[in-house]
Amino acid sequence: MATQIDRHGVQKSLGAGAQLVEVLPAKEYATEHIPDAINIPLKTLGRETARQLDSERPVIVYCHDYQ
Amino acid sequence: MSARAASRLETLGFRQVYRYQPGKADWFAAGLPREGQEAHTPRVADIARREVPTCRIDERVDAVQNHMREGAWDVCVVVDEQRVVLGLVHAETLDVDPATPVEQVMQSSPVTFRPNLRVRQAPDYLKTQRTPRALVTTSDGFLVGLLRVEDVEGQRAHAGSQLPPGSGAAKTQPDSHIPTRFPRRFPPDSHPVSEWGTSGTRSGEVCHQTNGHLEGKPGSMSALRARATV
Repeated sequence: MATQIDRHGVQKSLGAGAQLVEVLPAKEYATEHIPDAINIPLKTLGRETARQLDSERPVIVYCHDYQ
Repeated sequence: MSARAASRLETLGFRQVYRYQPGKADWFAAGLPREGQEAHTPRVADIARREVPTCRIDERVDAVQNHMREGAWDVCVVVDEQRVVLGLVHAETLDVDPATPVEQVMQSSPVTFRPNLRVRQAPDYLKTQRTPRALVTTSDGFLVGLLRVEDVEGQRAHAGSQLPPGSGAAKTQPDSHIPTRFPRRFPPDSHPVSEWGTSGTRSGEVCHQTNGHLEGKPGSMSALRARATV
């Protein structure tokens, strides 16, 4: 099960090379997102789309809030 | 949603998967940089008066009056040693014994807005709260500055002659001297806000200091999903 991380942990992890993924739809991502995050909407998340991620580095996923 | 995404990634072989469950709402409410089409939409943090005087809760009324007199202010923000807001003192409440502790005259739950509240939304929120001013604080309670209705109106008038917000993709950029990674807590006696830089670099949402966090328009479904913030 994925580990939960807070904002401060995100900042620290990004500085250490973690990858940040917003899983909201593309339109919401385009409107506003966290800098350096890439967009892989949950609906499209699969083996193909996940190839843009490095499986050897930490991945942090987020959406809008506690949804 | 992030839970399902994280689980899916794990099934795909990713071993170091983390969930940032509070999501970008939390990030923006902390006043951290944002990117995208709406990144340069003016936010209340951009026009908040950062020079608003502050005092400690154990100060006396006469000391607070001195703070306020220096800049002809009619309010003073009570903060702790980490600059977390504890209350607000109004000039009209200071007609008491000069030795009175600030704690006895301060408003303990002043209205606060998040830094990323859009300036165009601020008038409605101020009207709803029936106040001509509000404090801008991060989701951690740190003071950003004082938002005054006249500053909101001035900015909106100025914005009328500018390009419409959201007219293209953009990324907020902190000044070069501004740290892009923030410490968990600001050190005592620091003034984090003053280090945060200038217009367009920060973001925020709206809340009331003690009642909860509001998102979206007052009365909207998202606003009704109030959450404790401090």
